[in-house]
Amino acid sequence: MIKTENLTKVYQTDEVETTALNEVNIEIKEGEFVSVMGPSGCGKSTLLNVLGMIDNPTSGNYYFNGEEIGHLPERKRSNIRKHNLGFVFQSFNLIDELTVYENVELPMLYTKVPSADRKKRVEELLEGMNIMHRAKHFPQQLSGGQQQRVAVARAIVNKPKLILADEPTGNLDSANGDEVMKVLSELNATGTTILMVTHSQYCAEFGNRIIRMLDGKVVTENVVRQYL
Amino acid sequence: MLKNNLKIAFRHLIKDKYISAINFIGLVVGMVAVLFIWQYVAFERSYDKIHEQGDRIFRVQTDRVKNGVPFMQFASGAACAGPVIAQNFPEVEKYVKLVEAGKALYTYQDKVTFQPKKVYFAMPSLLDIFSFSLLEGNPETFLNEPFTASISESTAKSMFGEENPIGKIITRNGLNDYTITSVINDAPLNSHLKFDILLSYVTYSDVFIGNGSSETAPYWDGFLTYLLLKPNTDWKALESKFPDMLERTYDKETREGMVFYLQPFEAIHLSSNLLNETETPGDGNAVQFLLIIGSLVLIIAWFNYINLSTARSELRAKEVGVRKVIGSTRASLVQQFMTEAVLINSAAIVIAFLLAQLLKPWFIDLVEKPIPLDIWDNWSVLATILAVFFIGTFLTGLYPAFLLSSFKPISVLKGGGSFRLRSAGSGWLRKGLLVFQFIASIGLIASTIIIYNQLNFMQNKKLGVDIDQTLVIKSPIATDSLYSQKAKTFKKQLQNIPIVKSVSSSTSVPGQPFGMTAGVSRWGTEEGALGFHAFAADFNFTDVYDIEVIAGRALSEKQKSDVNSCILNIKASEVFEFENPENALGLEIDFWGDRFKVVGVVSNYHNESPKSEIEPMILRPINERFTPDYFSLKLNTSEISQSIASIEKTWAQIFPGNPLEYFFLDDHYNQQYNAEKLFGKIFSLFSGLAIFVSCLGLFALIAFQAERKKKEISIRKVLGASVASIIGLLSRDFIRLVFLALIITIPLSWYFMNNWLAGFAERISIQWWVFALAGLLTVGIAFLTMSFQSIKAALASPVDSLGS
Repeated sequence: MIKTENLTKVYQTDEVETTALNEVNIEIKEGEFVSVMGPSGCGKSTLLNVLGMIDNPTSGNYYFNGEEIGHLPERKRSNIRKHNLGFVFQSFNLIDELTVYENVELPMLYTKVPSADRKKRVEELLEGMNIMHRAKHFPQQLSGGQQQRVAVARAIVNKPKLILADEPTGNLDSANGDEVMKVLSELNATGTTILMVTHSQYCAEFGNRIIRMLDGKVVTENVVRQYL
Repeated sequence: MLKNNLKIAFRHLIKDKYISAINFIGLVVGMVAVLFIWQYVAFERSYDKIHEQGDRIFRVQTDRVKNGVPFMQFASGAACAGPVIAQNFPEVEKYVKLVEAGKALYTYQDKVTFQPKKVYFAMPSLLDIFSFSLLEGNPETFLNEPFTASISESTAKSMFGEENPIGKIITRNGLNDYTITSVINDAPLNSHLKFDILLSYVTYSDVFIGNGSSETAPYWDGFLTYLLLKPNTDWKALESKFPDMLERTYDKETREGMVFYLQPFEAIHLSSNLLNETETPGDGNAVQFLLIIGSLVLIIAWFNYINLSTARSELRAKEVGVRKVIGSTRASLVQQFMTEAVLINSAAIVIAFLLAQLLKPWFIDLVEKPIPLDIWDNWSVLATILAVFFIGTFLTGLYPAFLLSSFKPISVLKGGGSFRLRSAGSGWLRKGLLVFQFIASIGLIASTIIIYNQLNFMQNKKLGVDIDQTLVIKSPIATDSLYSQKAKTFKKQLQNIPIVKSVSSSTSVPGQPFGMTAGVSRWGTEEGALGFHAFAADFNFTDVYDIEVIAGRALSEKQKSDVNSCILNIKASEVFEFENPENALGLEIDFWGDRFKVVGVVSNYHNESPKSEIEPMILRPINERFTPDYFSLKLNTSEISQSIASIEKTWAQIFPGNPLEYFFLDDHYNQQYNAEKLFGKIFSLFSGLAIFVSCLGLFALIAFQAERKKKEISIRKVLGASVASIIGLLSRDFIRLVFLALIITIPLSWYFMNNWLAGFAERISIQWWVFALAGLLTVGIAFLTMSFQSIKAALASPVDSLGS
């Protein structure tokens, strides 16, 4: 599903040049749950952003479902993104002015899903996440765990092939963190590919493979267990 | 998607309720200002647009010239203009002449008495040139016979009610009978040519004048002449042929002594301000100024919106990032932010429209003009509303929308919400817009000060004529052959009233034009006549009005020969080329065939307000031919309620049946400042609004900045910063911008206000302190506006913002 060849990202400021990704070569197959670990500044979030098509690589190739997309214009990337990818952030990034229901519904507005189907899908997901009773509430009225569940619901509402999660449990206590990891595992079990950046060894082990990074390079890849 | 956009727009407006309110109030105030001002301007510009052939109609302006310099310019000019031009140039399809018939009482069978405001002797061609139409009567016979009349629809109603006026005979001042042959539609309010009654011109030219001079005299002014030119005539080229024509028809002196100009008919109201205009003309300059200032209020409100939206955009960055990540395109984001602009602009325009309807009577009162503010009838006002809405929405929505939608999700989502806008462009834009607002504020304050200074200057100017404690009585409307004698008796009896110090009778009083313009030449020479303003007065006039005699003496009752003496002002003696007024004494002049000897020269006193140039003037004695129109009473006191009864009694005895009309001269004189006072009033009101809207924006912006710098302020306080230094920190940038604005404003305001002042013969010079004061006031107002927020921020406990 994902293949990179010498993927490099260099950030240039006035005088300093930072190589965030240094010739990264990885491959992720459909159905995998891959965790990315490494110390702060090792380039894991940059990798996630490049793979999530919200950032461009400086050089190298990025193949998504066999197509080189690393250098596509924003409009095309946006189109691939909205049909194939779902994002979960550490700080949830829900839109404060929209209710839980509306936040989850939003991606379907961009993919032009008919109204009746949207309603059905949102309700189905909120039921599944156990937050249907909060549908009309605004994000700031929810606990962190609930907010992240809403964020996950929003990420999967368009049935993406790949979910990119950036420290999804970073702002949660352990109980709520477990809850979110459980949801992600269940999604993976139903066939969704997951790429997750995390600091926590505990969370990383929910995946079937762990990629460790240092100074913009992949240093090791451990298989936790064979995915089915 | 639209529903979603609307929903989120609405929620944002509610969430940021203070900023929304500031934007909303600003927009409403700006829109109301624009609706009013533009309606006023639209009305002023709509003058004389109803005539089908309007673009081919021109009025002939007559300038009287001495040594190449015009010294009098007439709207109602030379008698010969129409006939001579039409005879010489085939480009002229038709012409019409009108001459004012003067004030008179019109009666019908002793049953109805009517005192019309405007009566002209008019030619039948009036109907061929203008789009006036007859409601009754035959256009073929319109004013084509002596002693026929056409009355306006409203005059017909006033005089005859529902009766048909055709064939009825009305009597003018009990002397001449006119048969009504037609009823003509009323000229609309926005027409510079209005009339209640039209009398046939042939009565004037063939019966009253009779010798043909009313069609040939080059030095006889007072005739309105309108030409209808053939289609596609180059009117400028035609105008340039007039001097040759004058020389061909008359002589070289005439060519050098007068110039004809053509005034495009539709532009007359706002561009012409000559002698003997048909009514007080509009002021094109003032209209321009008001248009600018009305639009400024709205532009400032728009800028507030842009400023506040871009300032706030940092807070919206996360939303933009998230939307982009989950699939929103830039276009759909632009759409979303435009929805907010549409929402607030449409709400504002609806409220502004309702407010404008509600405040309509008040505005009509303010501008003292019965502007027909019917929005539904006036497509240009509707167009204005639509334009304000569309331009406003685009201007206010587009920039913030593009700025916001340009955020890269990667940079805004990284920091978990603590995103800082680093785009240099928006910072400059915000500063630019603020500087513009300050420029507008300083400029408006400075202009307001200058306008009031000029007004004060004119009102306090030494006029050279004493208009205080002077009661003026108008002459009776209906007079008979004994009037001259009766006037003398009346004067004598007035002098017996205890509060009356002295009395003078004259054909004109200060505070209005002299009334007569005459072509006068040196007696016994072949020199061409020169144009002068003139009036007739009794021997007391200079005394009653305390007009300074510079050379010679005043007219005196004791000097028997003074019935043939006259007085000049200095300007008139200069027209006769006397450098020293003393030398003008003894000069003999030919005034309409009468021989007068100059016995005195008086100062250039301000017969009219210092706004007008001082004109060359001749004062000649009252006689049987020039009977008084006014009696001026110099009083011992301004408390006249006791004595008015005795004045009324005397009046009733001598002029029975005539209503007594009187006024205080200072009030009458000061009415000349009405236009400037009104301008000042409207100008300061709208300046106030503009400054208010600016302050609203500034208030919100500094509040936003204080919020944004909360953490910085707290850290500084912990490190020992004083409240004053925090206030300085917050206001420093703004104060700098005020100074920058001041530098830009000075030349701009100086240029515009000098242009405005150029319309005054006597004017103040613009002083540097006006700008210093305006700058200081702006800094003061800005500082006051900011200080509330700054002090609040400076006094806040640092624990609140550093705790987390």
